[in-house]
Amino acid sequence: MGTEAPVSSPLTSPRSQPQHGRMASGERTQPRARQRLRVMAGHLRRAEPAPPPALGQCRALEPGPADSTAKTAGTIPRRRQEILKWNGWGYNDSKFTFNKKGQGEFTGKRYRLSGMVLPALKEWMEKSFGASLEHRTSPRTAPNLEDLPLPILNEECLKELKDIGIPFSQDPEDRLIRSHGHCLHEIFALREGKVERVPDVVIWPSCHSDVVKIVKLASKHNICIIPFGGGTSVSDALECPTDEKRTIVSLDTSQMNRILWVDEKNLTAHVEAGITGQDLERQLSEHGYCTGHEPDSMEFSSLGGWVATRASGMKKNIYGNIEDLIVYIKMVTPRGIIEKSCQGPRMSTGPDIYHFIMGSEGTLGVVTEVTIKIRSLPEYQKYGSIVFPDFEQGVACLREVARQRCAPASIRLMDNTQFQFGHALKPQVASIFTSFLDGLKKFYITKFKGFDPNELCVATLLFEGSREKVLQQEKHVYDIAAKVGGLAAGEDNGQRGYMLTFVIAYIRDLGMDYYIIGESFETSVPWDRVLDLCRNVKEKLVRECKERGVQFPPLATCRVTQTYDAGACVYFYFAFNYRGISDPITVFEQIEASAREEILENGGSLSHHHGVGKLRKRWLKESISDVGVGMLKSVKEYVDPNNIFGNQNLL
Amino acid sequence: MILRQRRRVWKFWSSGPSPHKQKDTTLNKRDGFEDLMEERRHSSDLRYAMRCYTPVVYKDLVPRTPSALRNVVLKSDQVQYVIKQLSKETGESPDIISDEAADILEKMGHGLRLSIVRFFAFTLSKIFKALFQKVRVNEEGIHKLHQAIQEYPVVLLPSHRSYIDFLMLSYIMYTYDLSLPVVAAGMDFMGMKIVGEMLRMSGAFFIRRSFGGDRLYWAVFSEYVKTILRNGDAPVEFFVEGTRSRTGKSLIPKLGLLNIAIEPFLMGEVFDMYLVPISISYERILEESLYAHELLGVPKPKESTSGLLKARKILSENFGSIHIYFGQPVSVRSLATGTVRRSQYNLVPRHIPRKPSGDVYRFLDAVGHRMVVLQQKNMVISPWVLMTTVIIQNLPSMPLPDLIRQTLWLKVIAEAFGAFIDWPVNVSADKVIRSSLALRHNIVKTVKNQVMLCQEETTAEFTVEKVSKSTVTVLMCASYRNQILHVFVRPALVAIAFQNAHSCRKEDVYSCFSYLREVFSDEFIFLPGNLVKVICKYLMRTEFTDDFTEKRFVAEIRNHAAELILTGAIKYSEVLSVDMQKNALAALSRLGAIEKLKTAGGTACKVNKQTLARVADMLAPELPVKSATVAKL
Repeated sequence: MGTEAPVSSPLTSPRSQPQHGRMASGERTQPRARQRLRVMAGHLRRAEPAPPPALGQCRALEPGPADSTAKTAGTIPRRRQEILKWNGWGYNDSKFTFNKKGQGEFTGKRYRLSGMVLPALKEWMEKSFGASLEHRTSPRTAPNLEDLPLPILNEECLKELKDIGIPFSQDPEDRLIRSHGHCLHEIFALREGKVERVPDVVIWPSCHSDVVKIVKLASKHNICIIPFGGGTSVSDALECPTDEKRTIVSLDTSQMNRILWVDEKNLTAHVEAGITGQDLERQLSEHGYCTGHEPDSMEFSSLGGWVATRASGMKKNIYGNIEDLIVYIKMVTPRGIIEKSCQGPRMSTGPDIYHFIMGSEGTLGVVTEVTIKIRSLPEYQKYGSIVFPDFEQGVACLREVARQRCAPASIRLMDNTQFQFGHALKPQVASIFTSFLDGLKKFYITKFKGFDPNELCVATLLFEGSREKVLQQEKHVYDIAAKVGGLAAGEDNGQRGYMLTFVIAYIRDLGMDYYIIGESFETSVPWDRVLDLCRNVKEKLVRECKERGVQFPPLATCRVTQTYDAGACVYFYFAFNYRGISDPITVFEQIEASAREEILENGGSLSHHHGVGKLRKRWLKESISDVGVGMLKSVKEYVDPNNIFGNQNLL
Repeated sequence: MILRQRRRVWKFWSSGPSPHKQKDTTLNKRDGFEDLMEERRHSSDLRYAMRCYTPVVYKDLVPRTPSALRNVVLKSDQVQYVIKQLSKETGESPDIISDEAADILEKMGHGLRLSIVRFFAFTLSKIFKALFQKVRVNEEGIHKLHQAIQEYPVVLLPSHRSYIDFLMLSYIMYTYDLSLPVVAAGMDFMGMKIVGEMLRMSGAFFIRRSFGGDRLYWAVFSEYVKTILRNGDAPVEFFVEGTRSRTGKSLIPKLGLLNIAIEPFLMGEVFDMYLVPISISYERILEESLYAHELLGVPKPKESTSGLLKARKILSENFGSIHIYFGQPVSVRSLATGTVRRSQYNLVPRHIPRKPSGDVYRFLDAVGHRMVVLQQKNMVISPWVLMTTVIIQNLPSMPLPDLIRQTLWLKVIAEAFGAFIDWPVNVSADKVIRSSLALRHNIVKTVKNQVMLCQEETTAEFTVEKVSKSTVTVLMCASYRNQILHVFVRPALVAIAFQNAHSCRKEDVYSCFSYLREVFSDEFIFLPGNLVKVICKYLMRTEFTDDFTEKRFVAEIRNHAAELILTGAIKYSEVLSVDMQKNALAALSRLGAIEKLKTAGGTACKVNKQTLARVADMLAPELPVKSATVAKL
């Protein structure tokens, strides 16, 4: 996922990384202690922190680097499949499943939810989708490597590749897992064993100069390069064009993952672009810093990927989106290297060339190094939640919060369906007392306050900063909420919401086991149109399903995930039970496309942060005008006249 | 916390007038009409009026009182924006303008009162029973409307032939437990003291007939309609033809109100809305002679309560039966898909008033025409209509057996072209026609087995005045004949095209056909062709040194036509109809033969002789009168 991936968040504080989640409980009130603990834990994990590399020096040139099993500083090894699924989201050891008693469960040990029983999940799936545990799909258990096309690569080229000494692979598995992102149809095809065009070679540069060599070689032999970062694209950006007859090299940046320097005076860090979000934040936290950029995909997505797609993070209200965080970019293109000569915080030097790079989606070159702003780790964090009688009042509250510019680090508003979904993922209650308390709260809100449980919706909040400021801001936000009819609903609800952030992306794989397919998509829209757009798009989804012969009512739900001065980011979740449909993916894609058209007709944008890729190309002209497309084309024409970066995204 | 699962209503999945079934517009026509009066004649009107009334409502309705509604309108961005603009321009304080807006709203706004509704239910039962033999409603249409009202906001678009229309419709809605529509009615009704007020309490709201220049009025009015639609407070009802058709033909749709009604959809404020074309067919129209006089230039009497009381003498007359056909609800969304770019509304705040852009205008025009065509399609044609068609071809008189024979022949043809004829079953043709003639003793009489029109005594003198007078019955007849024209228009044009085209090549005929269609598009269902020709000739002959005004044109054409009739040059006295003349003028101006100029004193017209000559030429090969062609078919 480009960034803010599906649904809610981990119980882990966003600071502590999800894989450390199990130690994050109950620490909210003692931030200092927790911070120390984390630093210690960090030391324990990595007995010897990698020595800071000499500038400009390549790890690949260091002795004994190139065999594929070598441990690197990053979380993601060259053979990604050792820890990540080949046929779904995330880590091999973490997934939703139903145990023998038919109860939902989340496996593994990485997340707060790991190992917990989710008693309400089954019923929710049955009710929402008409699904049944008896009707299971039978996907492949191993990737279909037999049908993989043979690699296209001539001898001369292969020899030169060997000569430059950068590790590469022609292994079918390596190639297959770099041939896709996480669009529904891509995962579906993997499970069904359908393969089309895949990269012919995978190559792992470990520094900027490696990339320069690769691009030069590619230019010389007219080879197509597709940059690959975290592989979390949801815009078909990684799909290999089927009509590409040249050799396709997948340039995997995962080994370019070092922080080259940290400048505490200017609060910047210079980082190689292949680093994943979780590595970046973990390593910076060892110095007491963070970037605060937390897209929902941050465990796997890379800094370079964020730059290439114009990513957005959950806590952008404090830290800003990627375009606000970037101070310097270095990109290797077939025409040469593009960069700026200084790191001034703002410049008036014509149109900002970085804005040609941000959002270029791998069509112009490879981002190799980035200077990014850093901040001290926040002193204090607090969760919160507000219940509103209906979605309209919720939006009114968010709008007012944005107007008064007092938005906390994160504020998200779920509609009623999502609120119900959140409950489906509620772990088994440990004590009678807790369940009694829950009952009491429910009674208060629905009976005493008169909220309709089928209408009410919830906003989750995350405050960050100095303790004093957080408390002040918290009061401010709750005051606004009270004015529009909202009720503060406690920290636990907020925390549970954020706990789900990283876990939720796993749920689609479970659904696919039971004939449920789904996807999330996003947009940004002016404030006055938020309600109309949400209602119309949801209704469009339902109506299209009906018209296209879907046998069961779909899940069509939304949340407002970001607030801006002039509008908001809205996220939709759409899924349905496809039993009885012969070509579910085509039907799904048609419906998704019609929903996108509805978004555009209701004043929404083509994308807030997922990007255009190939999935949304057809609407780009309408979105940015003919001349706009022409401008982008002329840049491409100059920078990459031979279409070396031929992933065919965007234009 | 709250763990109650949302109930997924599966029923919803399989019910409702699903939009994709829209193609199926042919409801079962012949059967399924239910006579409302039947029950009224057998049970207590009082109990009927006092019964429990719980109409179905829109699924997302947030209930509110009429005064709350008015408040919402007054506070809306749209109205506030115009108030500020006006204040800036005129220097008037916004408060004063705001009061003015509140005043407009007060005059306009409906205030539904159940007690008044019950009063109307009672009295209308009495009146309708006295006036009409039968009031027949297609129940399947009611059933679809029932579902549509719950699903999306609904706009009712009835045809407009009589004042009875909207009373009748509300009466039916009440009878079938549907929410009473909010009706946009002309302000003239407000002139009727108590009655106007009562109409308002039964759901009518009043608008001025023209308010082109008054931006405040426009803003308040349009926001009022839109607010009702957005929230689904009630179905909105208005007449897409704009006014009652005096000629029996459908009028060209007026797009102003349609634009207001559809804008909430175009701007994304509602997901969809339904347009429901409703065809109300009268066997005999209450205002028949009034219309004929109006068409000859006698001004329309002002609506007044005393006038209404005087009109009660009609209660003793028999007006036959009424058919009300509720058409298939048409989804605006499905009409708009692929024709309108709704994203054009993205770049300007939605509360700022704007004129519809080219494609929106074309869309509205198409929707308007389509609605009128749907109304026509479901009009029920009575035997009398067929008879007038025959009679008017055989003036001054024809033998009764001929009338019967030709009427039956026409019936077969009309049915072949898809007309929807209400011919009594199990009754001999002879009887049907005789009883129709009896019902129309005010128009036709049978003397010595010869059927002829009733005419006032003629003095020997032939004057223009005289011709006008004797035309009244002809026009009345014609207005019934006109009810069937839509069935024959297209085939007739094709026939003429064959006759006029230079060759029998498909393209020639088609281009001739298209041209004719263009010429007669103001008539909408393309009336008898020679009026335009008369005017052409007149304009060609008369030396217009000066430009002339529309009023003068109409007056002079009438004189000219009357002269021609007197001299026997033309036989069709219908050319004296004001409506037709205006349509012809509009057609000529559209074709560029007449240029309209805005002058200080109003609109002046200028004649373009060359174009005019060409128009005359195209129609030249001595056109047989259309109706003759119709008869020949």
